[in-house]
Amino acid sequence: MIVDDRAGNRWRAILVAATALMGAIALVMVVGYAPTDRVQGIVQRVFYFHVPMAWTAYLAFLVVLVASIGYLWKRDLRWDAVARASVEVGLLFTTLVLITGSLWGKPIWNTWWTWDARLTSTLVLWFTYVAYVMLRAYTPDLERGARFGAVLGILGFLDVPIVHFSVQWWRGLHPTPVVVRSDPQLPPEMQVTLLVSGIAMLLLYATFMAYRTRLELIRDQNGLLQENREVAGVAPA
Amino acid sequence: MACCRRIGRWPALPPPSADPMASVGYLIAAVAVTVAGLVGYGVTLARRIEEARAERRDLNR
Repeated sequence: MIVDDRAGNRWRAILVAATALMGAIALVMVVGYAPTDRVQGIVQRVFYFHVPMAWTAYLAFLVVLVASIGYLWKRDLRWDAVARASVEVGLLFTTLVLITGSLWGKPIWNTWWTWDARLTSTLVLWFTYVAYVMLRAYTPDLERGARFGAVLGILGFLDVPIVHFSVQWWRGLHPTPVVVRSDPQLPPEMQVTLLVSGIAMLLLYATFMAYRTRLELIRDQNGLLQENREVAGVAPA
Repeated sequence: MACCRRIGRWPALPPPSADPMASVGYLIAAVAVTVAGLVGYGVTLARRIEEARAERRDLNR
């Protein structure tokens, strides 16, 4: 049984092209359009990919939450495939958020790391989803792993609002929001550049998800084919 | 700083460099890590999909 997925392939190719185009526009704007910050200097430009990656990571873990609830409700493994895919992509973005934040913090705060509430809660978020990946890797039974993973996917999301509001709940070194507020505190050029970078990052997330979910579905099909072969007494491929 | 008095546990940090251009190396490093991470993940993902498809072809044989 080989599934014909030519229509899906076409959509994924369009998504890749749109992501590449938007990424190129965002890069040009970050380098040549956005003004240089008077206080922080050139390193402030890290903001244009650090912040959109953080937003995308939130979105990825929101998708994990929705897919986990969907799986526990419907017991359909396609929901689980979406959750597994989004955890991995969310982890990638969270890792890059932590690294780029550290590379910004060194020249601005004069330290690579500090146990500020935002940084600490983001690290906790990262460990939570690393635990998800490990849980899935060490639970060979697919449905059992899906059930455990769904519970962790729901509980793990509790840390996302803590990460987001940590800069308001606890006073620390990390800057408070300058965009997501009633009176954005950025010049229009910076706002537009951030918006374009955000759209590029969103498209990148969608592209990764399209391919990563496809991978999970192929693997699940392979698992079922393998089981069928074993039931039929055919030697493993 | 108000944050330090309130929490009282922040280490005293020396002030960052006064030269804003001194931080250009950090920006380059941040861009390089981001591009390497995202492109590297994309390439690895493409390879994993190709392996899974090859496995499926074997199983269907």
